Amino acid sequence: MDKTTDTADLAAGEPMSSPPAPDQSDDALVGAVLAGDEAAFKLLFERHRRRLAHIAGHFFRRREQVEEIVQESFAKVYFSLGDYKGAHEASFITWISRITVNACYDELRRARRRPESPISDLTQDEISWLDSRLHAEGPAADLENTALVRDLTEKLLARLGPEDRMVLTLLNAEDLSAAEIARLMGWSVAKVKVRAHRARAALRRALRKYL
Amino acid sequence: MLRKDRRKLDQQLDRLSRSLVPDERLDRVGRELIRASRMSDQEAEAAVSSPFLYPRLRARIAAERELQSRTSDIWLALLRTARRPLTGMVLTTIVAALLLWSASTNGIAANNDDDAFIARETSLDRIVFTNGSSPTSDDVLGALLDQTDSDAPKR
Repeated sequence: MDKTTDTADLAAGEPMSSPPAPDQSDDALVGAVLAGDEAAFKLLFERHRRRLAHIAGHFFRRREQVEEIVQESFAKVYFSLGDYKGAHEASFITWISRITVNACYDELRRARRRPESPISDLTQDEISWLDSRLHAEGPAADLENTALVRDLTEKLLARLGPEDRMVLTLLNAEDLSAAEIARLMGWSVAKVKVRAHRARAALRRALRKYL
Repeated sequence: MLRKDRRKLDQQLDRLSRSLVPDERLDRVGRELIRASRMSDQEAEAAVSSPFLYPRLRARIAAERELQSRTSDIWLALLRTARRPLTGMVLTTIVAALLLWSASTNGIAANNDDDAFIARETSLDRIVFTNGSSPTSDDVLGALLDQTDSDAPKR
């Protein structure tokens, strides 16, 4: 527990509780946080921060962005713990994953509205790379995660709307099914399928433009 | 001239070759790019390995909590300030409603009185008030003639 929390707890006149056992279930820890145990929240944070960073890392490539999303998600989790229904509806990990995916979606929408993020053109290297990939027969064994691949993907995805980007990333990077995406986003399965169809078409258009 | 045509033809061929790339191949490259550009597990872990991340999160939560309590304080203060005028307005509304109600009930009684009064009035008044509709020019003329007739023996 950090110093600020200790001081805040003491000021609020709350008794200092013993630290929660690390083998406690998520639901038990949520109950403890709701009862005022801040150390239980730290334990939840330590337990799930990697998972949330992993999700954010599929949408954002910069370290600070991932850190920001993880922070924002945990802050939302903290203030919404009262709404968490426990094992009856979904597990804690599914619940926080949904919050993180929504935080990523919000950030993509904000980024789209920002005037300082214009859609830039591809460099000659990127175009040549793309051209060679498109004319190569068969799938690549494993594309290397180079700066060129990242920049190229970022530029291509910047041409898509946030919803299209979400669906394509969840389908291709997270390997989720349409039903799983629907559950995560709170959409219908039909909407996910239609969105995926449109997103693929939009990406094809963006790729064709550079051929 | 020939060179110009050649260039145009090349451009057309180029455009044609672009459109001939099958959708499946474009989808495949798109998929590969998205998959390859995601952050690796190690990178993602490194992004949240800072020892300052949790204190920053606590500070953020504290700031948000303060903001929320300040917002609720503002609402409470507004309610407290508006309490007196609101009470006055509610009382005024009740009094006005009561007055309106009493006026309407008196109005019904007054209407009954009017009928009795009208019964004692001249024929012109009777025409105007009892019918409830505006009198025609014939009615007015008739009433005037009646009045003239009734006034005539007095003279």
